[in-house]
Amino acid sequence: MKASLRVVILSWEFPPRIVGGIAPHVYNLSCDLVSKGVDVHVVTCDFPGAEKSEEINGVHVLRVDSSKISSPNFATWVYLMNMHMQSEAADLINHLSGDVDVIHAHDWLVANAAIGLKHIFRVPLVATIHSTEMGRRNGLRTDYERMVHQTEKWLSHEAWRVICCSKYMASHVRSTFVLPEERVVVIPNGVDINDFPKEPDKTQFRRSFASDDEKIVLFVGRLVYEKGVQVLINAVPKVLAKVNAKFVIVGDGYLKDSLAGQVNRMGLNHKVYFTGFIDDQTLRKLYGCADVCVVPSLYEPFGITALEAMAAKVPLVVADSGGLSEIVGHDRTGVRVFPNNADSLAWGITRVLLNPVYATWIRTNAYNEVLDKYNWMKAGEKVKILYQWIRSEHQDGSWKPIRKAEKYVPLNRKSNLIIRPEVEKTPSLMD
Amino acid sequence: MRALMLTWEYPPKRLGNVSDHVCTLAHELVKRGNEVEVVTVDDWRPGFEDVSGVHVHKVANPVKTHPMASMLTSDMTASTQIERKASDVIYFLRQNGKNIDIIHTHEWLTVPPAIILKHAFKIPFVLTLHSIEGHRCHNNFGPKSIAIKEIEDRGIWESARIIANTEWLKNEILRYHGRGHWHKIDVVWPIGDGWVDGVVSVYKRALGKT
Repeated sequence: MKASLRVVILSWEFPPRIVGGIAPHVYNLSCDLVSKGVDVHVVTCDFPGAEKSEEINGVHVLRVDSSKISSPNFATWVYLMNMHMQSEAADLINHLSGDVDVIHAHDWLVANAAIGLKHIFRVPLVATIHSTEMGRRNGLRTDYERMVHQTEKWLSHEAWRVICCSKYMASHVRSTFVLPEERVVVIPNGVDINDFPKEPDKTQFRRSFASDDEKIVLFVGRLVYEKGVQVLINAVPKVLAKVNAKFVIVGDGYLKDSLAGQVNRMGLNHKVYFTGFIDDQTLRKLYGCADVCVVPSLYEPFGITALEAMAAKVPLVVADSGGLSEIVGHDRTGVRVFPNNADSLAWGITRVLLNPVYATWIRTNAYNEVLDKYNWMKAGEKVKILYQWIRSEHQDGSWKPIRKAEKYVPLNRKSNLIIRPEVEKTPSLMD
Repeated sequence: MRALMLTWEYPPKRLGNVSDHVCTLAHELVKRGNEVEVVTVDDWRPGFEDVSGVHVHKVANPVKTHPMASMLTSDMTASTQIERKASDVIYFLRQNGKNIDIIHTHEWLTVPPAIILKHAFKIPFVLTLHSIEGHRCHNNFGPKSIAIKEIEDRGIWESARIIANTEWLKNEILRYHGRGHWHKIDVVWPIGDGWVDGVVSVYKRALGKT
């Protein structure tokens, strides 16, 4: 038995290919696992300009040609991509002579490949469910959504353990996919404090977003329904009645046009600034300039943007929903307001902007909380322990790969009983 | 010879002629002293049965609901389940000191699991093409047809040998998928006495035994 752990991580995005939150999550997690002595192989999709196979900070990355077969729609693309990912990952695992302890899948987008590999090589599967279709769409309406939901359910049932990032998400996953309690593990995400500049440039850089007399209210996230940007825009006039502020909205999504229309109708074009997608470096500098960061999500499994704001020492106003309720303590590390309620949100924002002493209090507490609880060192440690735990469970079990044909020995119940080691009798209450 | 037969339909599920074709072939192979494990998809009758020596493993598609006319997505989810069952069969046989010699897959629907099993277990596969997408879509290549055609193409590239039912079909496969494959395609008529012997000789050729 070898000493070190080896894990194959499947993810449909990995830097430089960044679509949503999975890419930074997988990147940070795998870098941290490597620093803890785990041999990490990431299999992911290709990206123009990225190497097919390379080593980043000790992480072995294999990029699969994801559009080898043309496909009519996104779902078909996902499943066909899985086929290629699976055959290339099978070659990789064979190259490592099948010596892999855990396969780790991130979300339903790699469910097919992960489940197939699990059964072919008989390696335990761990799944991280970042969000569910039920939650993203607030219910299931079309056959497409049902298909995704069933795939997620299939993945969570095939997984040895399911990782969720918050207690809220764990209970949501357990109830929607009908999982027993012991199969779901809560491991909160982390954030790297060193990524954020210590002393942000508050003059020149800030002027490209707002004038000096304006406070900056920052929103970061995909512009989709569940993130609640529409609520924030409804709150804008209510905030402006009390404070002069600029609302900077970072991100992209299918609601962008309708949100821009909403701002236009309300006559707020000069106060709301849609930046589109911006890169990590600029975003971190922007966090440093912001006076308040808003997370008005209607559905939020975890809320990594809240953590980022906390790490950047920006006071935080969040909707009291999902994982945000767990991260943010009201009046301690941020302000919690009613979800989907513009009045309440405006109250929260003005409370922070008009009271600098209060703002300093919550942001200092929040920063200390991040140092304490939400850093990758802690998350990586927990994931490593989970892997070791699963490996020992797998070794104790009988579900194992058979490398080559064995000489046939008919199963003999009697001899089987003799070989089995003596199990110590546990004292029961009756004794 | 021990063959693992992959098919998307097997009696009593009959949507096309592949079903009876595979059934007859499997029974004839067993009569001639070979061993056949059939892995197939049947949502209504999952399970195992031994029909006069032919071991039939039926799996159900784990994802039942698919968008309208999305043959591709339902095929891909069923494929994973086929892989699961096939690897269970392979491990079970290994436990009993046996090995699968060859994988035989019928039509594009079971090409994905065949490719992955080939890569994972290093067992070559033979592909029988009963018809090709170029004909089924009457040359109206929409995105769905292109995807199916490309899966067929990948199957043709990855397979050890290809069986075509007629000389005409062989020429059509060459016309649609490239003349370069001419040396891989064998014509075996699926009727008469020469059928099963022809298939067995293709297996042997795929394994490099002749």
